[in-house]
Amino acid sequence: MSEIDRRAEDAAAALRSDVTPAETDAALAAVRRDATRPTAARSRWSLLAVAATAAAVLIAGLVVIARRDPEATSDLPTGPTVPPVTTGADGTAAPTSLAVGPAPAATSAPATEPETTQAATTVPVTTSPATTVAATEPPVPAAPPEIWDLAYVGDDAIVAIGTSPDLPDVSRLYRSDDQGATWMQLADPESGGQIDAVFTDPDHGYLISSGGTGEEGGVVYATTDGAATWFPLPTDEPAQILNIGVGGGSLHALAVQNGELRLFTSVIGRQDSLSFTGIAWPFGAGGMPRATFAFAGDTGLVTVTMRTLVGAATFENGQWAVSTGLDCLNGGVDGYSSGSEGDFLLACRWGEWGGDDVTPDGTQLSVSTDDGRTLTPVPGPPSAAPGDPNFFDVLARPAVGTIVAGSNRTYVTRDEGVTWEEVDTSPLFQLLTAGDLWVGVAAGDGRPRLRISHDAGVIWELAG
Amino acid sequence: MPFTQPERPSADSFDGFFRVEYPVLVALGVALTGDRELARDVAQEALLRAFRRWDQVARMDRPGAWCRQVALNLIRDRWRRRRSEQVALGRVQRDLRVVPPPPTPADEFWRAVRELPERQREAIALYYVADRSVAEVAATMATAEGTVKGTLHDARRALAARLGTRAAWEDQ
Repeated sequence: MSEIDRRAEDAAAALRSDVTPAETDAALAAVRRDATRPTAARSRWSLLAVAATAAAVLIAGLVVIARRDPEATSDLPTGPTVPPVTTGADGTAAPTSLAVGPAPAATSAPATEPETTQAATTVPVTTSPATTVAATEPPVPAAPPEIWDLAYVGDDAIVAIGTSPDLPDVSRLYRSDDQGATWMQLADPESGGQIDAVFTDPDHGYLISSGGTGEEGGVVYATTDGAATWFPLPTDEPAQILNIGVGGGSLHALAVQNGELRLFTSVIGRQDSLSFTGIAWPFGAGGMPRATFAFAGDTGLVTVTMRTLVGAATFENGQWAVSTGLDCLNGGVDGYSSGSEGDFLLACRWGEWGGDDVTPDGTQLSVSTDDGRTLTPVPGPPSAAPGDPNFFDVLARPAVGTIVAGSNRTYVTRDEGVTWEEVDTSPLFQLLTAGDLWVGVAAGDGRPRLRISHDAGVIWELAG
Repeated sequence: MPFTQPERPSADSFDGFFRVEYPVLVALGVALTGDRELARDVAQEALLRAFRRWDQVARMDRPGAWCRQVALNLIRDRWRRRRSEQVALGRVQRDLRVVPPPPTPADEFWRAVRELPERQREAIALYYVADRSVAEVAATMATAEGTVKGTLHDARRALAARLGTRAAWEDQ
């Protein structure tokens, strides 16, 4: 150890020892107190939205929804049918394809290869006029200082959740029509507190809003007119919605209800309410629960993780069923990619995650060729071996390659995992693709920002 | 909210995270600014931001690195403002005879660190105060490990020169 090392470590120890446990506890109490303060005044429209939600829940409680029988839609209250929502078969912004399998042959796929599209699923959406609420504010030009969540990526628009320019702790909904160069802050059903959003095109989308309360979950709203108006989706009992996904012709959600983590879904073709599927997992301590929904064609799967894998379920023939094959050893599942032939590509983490003092042992890329029932390992980058801290975080499925993003490094493969190329970018934690447009969110400088790639994930430029 | 949640699922995990990270962030702030109050403010602000989006931060590979990135950004912003204020204040108070308390060896060391270029002082503070590996420092600074190694090498050499010169001067 050099003299400088010794002096540095002594000096650092002196600083750390100056912070007492009592000071730390007092600071923690202050943070909790500050966090409970309202981050934005709730408008009269948000109050109307809450009232409308309560009314909708009451109405839904009076209606017995035979959710598991897709034909039994005649029992539902019907509203005017709006133009259909056309989604990619995997429920993502744009259909993509890449054949994945356990023993792929080395192939070369140039970036200009024509995209193979999956069969689209047409999903008619009905609205319930009695519960439709006007949005709180009209769209205004405003750029989000930070991007938190990508809701839609297409050549025609990008929709994302980001922070408010004037209230950095309030999340709002934004849309860019020029790939992130300029943004419009969209109207939302409540003033801030947007948690999760999925748009199937720039007009049709779903949004979880906590109403700016700082809660971890909230109410799902839907829009069919590009966020000009929203209507709350009732659940058959009060539930705190945590994550949503679209696929197989339905809307799906993970929610906290009666002390359990419960899987909800809508009737196929009628995404105007959510009902409990009968599938539930225990809601214990140890991290924030999160659901990852993946769809390919009419089949899908969901994995629910906290620090480790809590459970999984597969979606087939319009119904969810518990899956026990997705164990990923003792780790969780993060990231997914839907294959062109109904395959699912997943990154299975080995070990716990969720705290900075817990380092996952590594991540294994796996593919499922039986609709998510079982997993088979597939080749990954050399550093993906168990024990390597540079585990993967996100997977995307463009037509010409698969990209995996880790804590430090990002890799792309164009030959189904035989060879990998390291990409020079800040760590990406979310990716969506639409044809040649790849959009990611990176927090390299501590402020999550939008990154755009036009060369299949090799060069990532800061948008805006 | 029309619905109530029986418990905050992230509360327990966040408390533990806070108790680990807060002392580190305060020490990091003191090392980089020499201002304990500013360091406390920055640490609380960074952790408050983490708490408000804990469902997202907790899913990150390194939530602590995210907080340190936020803290570094806050320190850069506030330290620059504070330095401007101090320059203005110094013009007014230059004739005041203020006798500061005698510096400790740690004070001397961090004062020398604060005279380094920004990237060098941040690398030194993250490496020693946060007690992180080169890989962790690289993740926090959003740069390559090789770059961090080079920055640390240059910083150590500059520190040796500064502290050695100062020690020699004090011995006279």
